[in-house]
Amino acid sequence: MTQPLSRRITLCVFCAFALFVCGARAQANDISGTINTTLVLYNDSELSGDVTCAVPLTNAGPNPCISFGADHITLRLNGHTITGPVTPPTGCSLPSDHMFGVGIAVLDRSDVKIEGPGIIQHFERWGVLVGLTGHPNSEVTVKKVTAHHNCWSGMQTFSTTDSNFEENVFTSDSSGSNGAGCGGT
Amino acid sequence: MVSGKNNRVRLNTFYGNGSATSKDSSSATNSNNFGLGLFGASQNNLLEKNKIGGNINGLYLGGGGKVTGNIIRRNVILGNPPAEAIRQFGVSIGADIQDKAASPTTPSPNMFEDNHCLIYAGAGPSPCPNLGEHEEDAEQDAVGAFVRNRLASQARVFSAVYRLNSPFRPKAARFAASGEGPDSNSVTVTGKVVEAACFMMHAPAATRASHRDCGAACLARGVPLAIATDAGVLYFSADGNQRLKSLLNARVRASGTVLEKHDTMELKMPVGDKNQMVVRVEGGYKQITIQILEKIPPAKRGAA
Repeated sequence: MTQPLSRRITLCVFCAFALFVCGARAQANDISGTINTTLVLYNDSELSGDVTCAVPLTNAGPNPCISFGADHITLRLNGHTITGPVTPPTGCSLPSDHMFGVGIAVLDRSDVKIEGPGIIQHFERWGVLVGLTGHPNSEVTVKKVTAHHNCWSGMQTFSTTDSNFEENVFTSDSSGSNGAGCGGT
Repeated sequence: MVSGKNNRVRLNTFYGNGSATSKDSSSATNSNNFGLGLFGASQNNLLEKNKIGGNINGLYLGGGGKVTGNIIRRNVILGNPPAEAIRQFGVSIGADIQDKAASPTTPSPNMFEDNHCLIYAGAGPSPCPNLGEHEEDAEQDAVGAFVRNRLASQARVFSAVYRLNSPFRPKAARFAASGEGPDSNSVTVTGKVVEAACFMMHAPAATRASHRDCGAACLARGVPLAIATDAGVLYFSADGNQRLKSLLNARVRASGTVLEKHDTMELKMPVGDKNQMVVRVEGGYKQITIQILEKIPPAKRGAA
């Protein structure tokens, strides 16, 4: 009945490792609920329910709700909604702000996809950010995504090449760009 | 989009975006917000079949001289700005197409073709108003879907080789001398600007209206253009696509000097998102250094 101490330690370590691995896989593959710190994707992932973003603005530059951490992966929205913390034009980012919120960020990536249908809304700056100066992308696909009521552009791309942006809807964005040249895309 | 290159923006909807009070400066008459905008060094992108309405500006092409080589075709760009914005801020607050990329010295750095639009603000030749019918939509979609399905089930890279003296080379790809004569350096040629790879594969399809989408996509990805004479002779421009890109599918008259090139040329044509077809031209080709290039309006075609 009683196990030797060394076997029990081994079993506990194995169980802890299994929980850690399963937890990480679940986080990456199956997304819903409230996100409080930026969720970085390393595998194909999908939304299993609506997402509320409450990522605090602590880092210089974009503070995304979800970001891509690997090439050749896909995020499927599965008809769900990702909602940020503001209702434009209230609470929107100023051009002089060094920290700002975005919904989904794709930086320094190649061959990644964001597939709708799904809604990305109510972010302080951009709903979807694809690239930044010094952080180029290539072969990015954004398809069937609705970006709605974000402060700046529904989707902003910088330094991105050979990419496809198809069948998306950009509506009622950029009501709080505070002078920045913004719009749907 | 800032400094984006070779991207495809297709079949999207841009409705009701932008604020009338957002401007580049207090003295600016127009808002700097939009439905779809290109800024920085955004070049060789394809903007096609998008619906852009009810925004402060519909399509906004930024200034600075680096928004060039973009193909803007078959979009519906109407109702920009909305009536309430015009009532409150005046008609100059926005336009269907706000073109800061055009200037009196560079009137057409981007190609507009078959867009439905009413209001153009810019220094270039206005592509608006234009409310023509897109009667070929269904045909083009069907042809495009058929080609994509056929090619998607085949190899990832297609390769075809054409030799100047091969008995198997397609009739349309003949490089034999026509009236222009290979020995004369100075020529004037009349023909249609075509996407060369497709023309050599199947000339009738390349010159048909149903190929326009594909040809524009190929151009956006750098496939060489050429002037195809009525005799099927291809003339590749010495400056690449620079002078021809705004004239895809147009009938032109070009004068200049011709050089017979004898090296092998590879034309790479995108097929879907991942695949490409490679057409290798062996046995030489004609290269023209264009000195005078003019578009032949439809009314003059009979005399050309």
